[in-house]
Amino acid sequence: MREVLVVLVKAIAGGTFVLLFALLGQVLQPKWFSGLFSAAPSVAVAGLIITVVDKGDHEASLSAIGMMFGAVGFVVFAICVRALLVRHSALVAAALACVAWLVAAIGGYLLVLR
Amino acid sequence: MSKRDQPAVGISLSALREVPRGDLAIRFAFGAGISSIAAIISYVFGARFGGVFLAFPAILPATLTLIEKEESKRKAEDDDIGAILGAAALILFGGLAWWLIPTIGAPGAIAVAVFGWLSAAALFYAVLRVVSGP
Repeated sequence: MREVLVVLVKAIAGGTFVLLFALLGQVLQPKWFSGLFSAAPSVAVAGLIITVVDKGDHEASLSAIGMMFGAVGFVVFAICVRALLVRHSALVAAALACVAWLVAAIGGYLLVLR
Repeated sequence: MSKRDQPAVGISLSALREVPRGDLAIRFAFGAGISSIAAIISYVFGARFGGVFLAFPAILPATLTLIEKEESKRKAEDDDIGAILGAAALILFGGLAWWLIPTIGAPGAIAVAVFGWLSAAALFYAVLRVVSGP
């Protein structure tokens, strides 16, 4: 029951931080600069804060290690989206690039930490 | 991309009024969804592997789709360039959080990591603007 509650709190906190960073990106000009906030650590900040409260500093530090691999995957994702946008819509480009994120982030994690 | 058609960095609060509530709901749902997935994976496979999903591109797909629909594909491409720089800075965020949480405690560590992310992203942005020429 406690685990379900923590997942719910993380979901609400994650959604809220994503919304706040998205609004910040919305008011900033030009788009090139506001795009930085599309890669803001919104889910990460929410996740780390709740993890610290739930399980303490050590677990949060471990999460941050994994997060670095996710961030490398994010760079690969965004580069792939840029290339795919030439031929595809944003929706299709983002969907295809999610595969690149999975390969880079999880592949990199398994390669280095396993 | 030419820098001539790029206005200086600034804030346009009026842009907030133009954001449809449905768009905000979509972004909230994306953030809540990926946060839930990361939390469940952390419980099942451990915090380190779950942490990978803390850097899933939660905002970008929705943002690009909405920009393409409401503005243009060119604007979506511009947004994505910023996202590449922000994502590179996200690696620094993770590194700072990993290094500093055990040493100075989580509140300070997360604050420094956010500041580090913002500083690095802004620096990358400034460098790219200089490199891309006038």
